Amino acid sequence: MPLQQLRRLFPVFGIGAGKDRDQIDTVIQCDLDFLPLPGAAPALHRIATYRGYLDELPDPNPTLEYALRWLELRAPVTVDLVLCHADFRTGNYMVDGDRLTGILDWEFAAWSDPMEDIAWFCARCWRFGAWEREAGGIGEREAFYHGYEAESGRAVDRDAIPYWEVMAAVRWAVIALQQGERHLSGGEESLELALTGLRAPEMELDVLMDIARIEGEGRA
Amino acid sequence: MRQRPDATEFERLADAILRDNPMPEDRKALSYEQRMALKAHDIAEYDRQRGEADMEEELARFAALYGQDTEASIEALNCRLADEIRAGKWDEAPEALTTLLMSQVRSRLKRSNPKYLRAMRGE
Repeated sequence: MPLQQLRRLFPVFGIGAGKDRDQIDTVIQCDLDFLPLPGAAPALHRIATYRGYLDELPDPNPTLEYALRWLELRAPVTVDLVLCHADFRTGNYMVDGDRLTGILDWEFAAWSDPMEDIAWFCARCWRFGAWEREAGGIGEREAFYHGYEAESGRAVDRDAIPYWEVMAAVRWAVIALQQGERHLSGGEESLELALTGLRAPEMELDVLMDIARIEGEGRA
Repeated sequence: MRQRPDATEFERLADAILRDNPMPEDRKALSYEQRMALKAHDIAEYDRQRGEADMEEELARFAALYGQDTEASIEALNCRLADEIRAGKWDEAPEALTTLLMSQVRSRLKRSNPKYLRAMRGE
């Protein structure tokens, strides 16, 4: 089963059929039973995790609490549970010419909703200032969706993606605050960490704007 | 809420970097560390000019939400609000809530990344 899941996952990243995939099949023969199953609603699992992280920080964050509550009330039941990379974004893949040659940083891989990976890649916080290139700051969102659908055979749930992009922004905001706290706690003096913590309000603005837009469209 | 690190700490961290990495004459040749130090100085300057005013404005926003009679600190008010949101007490009144949250976030972005705030307003 894990190998089958991986086959279904890899098309997300543009790895083609045939030889590439055969090579992947021979390389990946690992047992993934150690990865916990999140239950029927991986979104709720994520929400509980991020609330736990916030509870470990000394300062409250009403905006992230608001976003998490909003996500909690609208958590989808995920029928199509797959192995997600969970950190697939521009910066975590390698390209040679027009060919994908590597995908990095698998330490966050987890069973989850396939739309979580799509949304993480498209979230505003991972466009590196190229806001108009909604797919990772490098391409058109619809082109990415079409490529994903063509390779995977799985439809992109366009109505679900905005929900998962809110989740993505919350997650990166929490990570930024954790990084900042490494400095603030006195554990590791670093201006870089301190400034990373100050990036959280960027994602907080994203979630407030995104939730307002979703509510306005009646999508939630 | 009082922002951390404060101006004094940001200046200390920035000065430590600039002692080891003196500023080049050509600003286009700034290193990553030097750019961080300049940003830290900008934030420290913002805090000295706007820090107290921002806190007074945040208190005023909470007074609009909770009423004028509260004498709680900003930190306590933020804790109360965060707990109430998680408990679902604000599920039925999102507009008053989001108005306050958006004001808080804009205020923090004016300090940490005004460029991002301007960019998003332009979307």
